[in-house]
Amino acid sequence: MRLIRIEKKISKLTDTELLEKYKSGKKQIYVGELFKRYSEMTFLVCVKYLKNTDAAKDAVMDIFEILLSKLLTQEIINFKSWLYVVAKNYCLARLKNIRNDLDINEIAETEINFMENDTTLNLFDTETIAEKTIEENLNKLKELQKVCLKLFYFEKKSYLQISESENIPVKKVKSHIQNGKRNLKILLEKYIISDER
Amino acid sequence: MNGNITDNRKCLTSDEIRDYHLNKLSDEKRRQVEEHIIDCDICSDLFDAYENISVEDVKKITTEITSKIDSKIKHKTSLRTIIYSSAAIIVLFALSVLLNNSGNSGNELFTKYFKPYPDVTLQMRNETNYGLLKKGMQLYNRGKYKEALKVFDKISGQDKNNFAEFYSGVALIAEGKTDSGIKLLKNIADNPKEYFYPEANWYIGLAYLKLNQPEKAMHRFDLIKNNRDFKTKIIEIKGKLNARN
Repeated sequence: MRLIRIEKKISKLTDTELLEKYKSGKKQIYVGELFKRYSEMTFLVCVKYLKNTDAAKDAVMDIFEILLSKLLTQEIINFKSWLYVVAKNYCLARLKNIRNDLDINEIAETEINFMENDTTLNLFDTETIAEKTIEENLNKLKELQKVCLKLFYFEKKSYLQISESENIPVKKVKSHIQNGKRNLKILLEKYIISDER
Repeated sequence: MNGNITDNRKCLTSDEIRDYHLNKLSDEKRRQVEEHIIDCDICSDLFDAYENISVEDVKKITTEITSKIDSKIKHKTSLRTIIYSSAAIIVLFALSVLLNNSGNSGNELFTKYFKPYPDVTLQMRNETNYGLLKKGMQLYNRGKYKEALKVFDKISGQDKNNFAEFYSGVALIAEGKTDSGIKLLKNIADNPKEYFYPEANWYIGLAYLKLNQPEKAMHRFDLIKNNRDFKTKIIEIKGKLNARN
């Protein structure tokens, strides 16, 4: 009964509060709650990179063990994004068979995009950047990236529609859009800097 | 898990990602998902994961993982509880042993306060048996209690103020014959008119401490608690006995 009451209380704590409580008392119940909140995310990240369900399950438990010690020493601002990076890099290291050399401290600092930011949202905002400029820079991209971006953003086609029209897998459509958008952003940033000069 | 996977309002919920793959979303919602994952690394990876696993399996395995973590924590917690409880018992036991053997135990108090009563027999030099008393005291002063007792025994009950009896009692206690010492000293300690009345009670009290009978010891100390020679020491002993309790 007491344990149920404690668990109920713990479930109401924020991630930051759970982290603080674990750091001060080293009670694993707090990490347990924290990790359970993102166990699906961790598992899916492992599935994505390891492409094997059993290996992903094992990886999740390994990552949980890593957290128990790493959380005590790391300064974590956003637990979810930190955990995502830890999980992703764990998988990449495992794929490379260099698990023992895994440096969580280093990888945890890796910058990731885990939400849309103003820059990406405004990328196709013609009020900010002239349509002609976007068009010019789009043409500098690889053909499939350019096509997928145009179809997705200007013609509002779905992944599936682009996949069918261009005869490429849906997965590739997404990849071309992502890479194309990233490259276009770089080109536009360069353009803005040179224009300011 | 119905909340946002990345705990960010702009991020997708696990349900949204699942429903996308199950074709349960409206066109507008599908569009939102597709736009979001272009810019969000986390949601993009979670979205991609469904290429390698079914929605049902994700639910099943996540539940499995959650219960594994629960049992792992509970196991570790109960193991830790056992370890901590055992450690606490050991510490308490060690403390009680330490308390009983360091400072406040009866035996320790006896050792601390017991000192053979100094030789005050010079005042008896004009007495008939002074020669034997002096001989006995010489042995007593050198710590040869056994030999001293034999000499005292010859004059016990014959000397004024029961000097031989008193020093015999102290010698017996010093020799470790505590019960015999108490018995002998009681002849003096039970009579307030005796010359060595306070001293006899003091040594009986110490002897009771050694026998771990603090109540009896305190009874003897209470009889002489106002005696200036013992007052301070009795207060100290009382304090230590109270601290022990």
